[in-house]
Amino acid sequence: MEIWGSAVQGNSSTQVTQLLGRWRSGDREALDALVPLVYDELKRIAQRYLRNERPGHTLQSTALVHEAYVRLTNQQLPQWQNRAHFFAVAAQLMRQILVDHARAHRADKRGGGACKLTLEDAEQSVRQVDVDVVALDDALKTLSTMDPQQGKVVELKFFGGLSIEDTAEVLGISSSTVKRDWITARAWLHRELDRSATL
Amino acid sequence: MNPERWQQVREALDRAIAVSDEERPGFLDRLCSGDSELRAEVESLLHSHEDAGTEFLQKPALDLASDAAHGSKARIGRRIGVYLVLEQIGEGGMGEVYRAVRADGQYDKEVAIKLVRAGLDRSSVLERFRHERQVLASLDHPNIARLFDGGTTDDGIPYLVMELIEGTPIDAYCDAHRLTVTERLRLFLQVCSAVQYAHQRLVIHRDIKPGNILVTKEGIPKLLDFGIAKILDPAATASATLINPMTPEYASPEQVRGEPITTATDVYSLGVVLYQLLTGRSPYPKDTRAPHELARAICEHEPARPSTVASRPL
Repeated sequence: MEIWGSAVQGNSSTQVTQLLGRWRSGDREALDALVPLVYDELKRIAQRYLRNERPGHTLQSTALVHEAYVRLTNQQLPQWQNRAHFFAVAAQLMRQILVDHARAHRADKRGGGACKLTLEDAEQSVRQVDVDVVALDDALKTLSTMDPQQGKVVELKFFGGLSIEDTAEVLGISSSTVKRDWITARAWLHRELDRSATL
Repeated sequence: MNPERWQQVREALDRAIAVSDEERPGFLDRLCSGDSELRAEVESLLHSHEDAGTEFLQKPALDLASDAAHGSKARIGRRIGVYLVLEQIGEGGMGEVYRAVRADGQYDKEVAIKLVRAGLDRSSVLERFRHERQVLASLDHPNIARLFDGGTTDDGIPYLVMELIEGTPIDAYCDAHRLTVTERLRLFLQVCSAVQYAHQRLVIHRDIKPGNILVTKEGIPKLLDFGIAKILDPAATASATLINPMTPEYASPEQVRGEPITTATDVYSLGVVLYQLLTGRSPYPKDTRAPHELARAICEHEPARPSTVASRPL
């Protein structure tokens, strides 16, 4: 039985804060040490969201990454640069977690086709938007070879659940650039997913 | 596509999106002059841009995964007990409501299945449910929606099986049909007879509000969820930290104060509903929205007489 909401041990939160600082000043090894810590925490929170019923209709990923940050660093008043670095790592890891999750579902329902995530729109009408996360991940890899920044924007927004503003902060670019990247990347990804669905 | 070409394409796409539909062909003619491949690519992506609408990728991946695992969509076409879930018909503070039918074909009459939102203490909900179900199932009145059955889903969520009522909340019904005061009162009297019937059997509704009084196509008012509030009411258990499902706008002073509930509680809520049916507004001062303000208004405010506030001739 896991106990939710309890803060991570003091030692490890200091550790995460220090690692973020070291990584920011160019220490690549700090990132290697950081990833497993962040990964475990994100995975635990993500699984809680996926296992239990939804607390409501709030956007959970946004809350998740913020929650992970507060819990891991124990920083109620975030240091902005650390926070941006943390979000960058977190979005990448969330992508990995969610794509693995979708793959596992595919395996569960072998023969049942791709696992699609379904979104009911606000009016709860029949209209729905399906996203095949595994196919999206593949398409996103291709997009990143053409335009790494656009790939990052999609990763941060869709997998990390970050807002336009947080995405801009993480990438050190303006919000309007993020919006433009996002709109054209979405058009391209939508077409790729359409194509992969009809193959 | 190589990165240089993509930069060219996305730049053109970005600019083309900003141009109006009428101006677009001319704009693309100038922008892609001589490069028919670029033009085809931009047009194809413009098409995808429109197809993507506002929703595509708008909701973060984790939320989509969570919806798929637990959302209402996951229930459609599956079974709950002996029932096959057909579609979602509502969602309230209490949980989701589905239209369903017996999967074994024993009866083809459709029912409403109400799932009790998680977060409430399930075991005590179930215990209260077992306690109350026979009393509630015995309520047999033309203006009360029948409670048939209940149980727990495979994933442990308590549910209630009820008569499926298709209708309009009484306030909306009265307005939509432009009912006169007399007609409104006739309708309301039927609601009162249902409440009286239940009170004679010592069952209190506890959550009377327009959303729980649906009027059918035939013009018959039906009270939903009789006694369900008691099953769900955390105040009935020792754990007082949970959210009270009671609807504050129609609550009685004793509910607001957490005092014992009696049949007078329902009579108070009926009074609030009647006030609204006659005046088109709440008996409490305007802009009383925050729960604590509303609570104070309910306990302390003396409402103006309906005849003095009726905003328009009915």
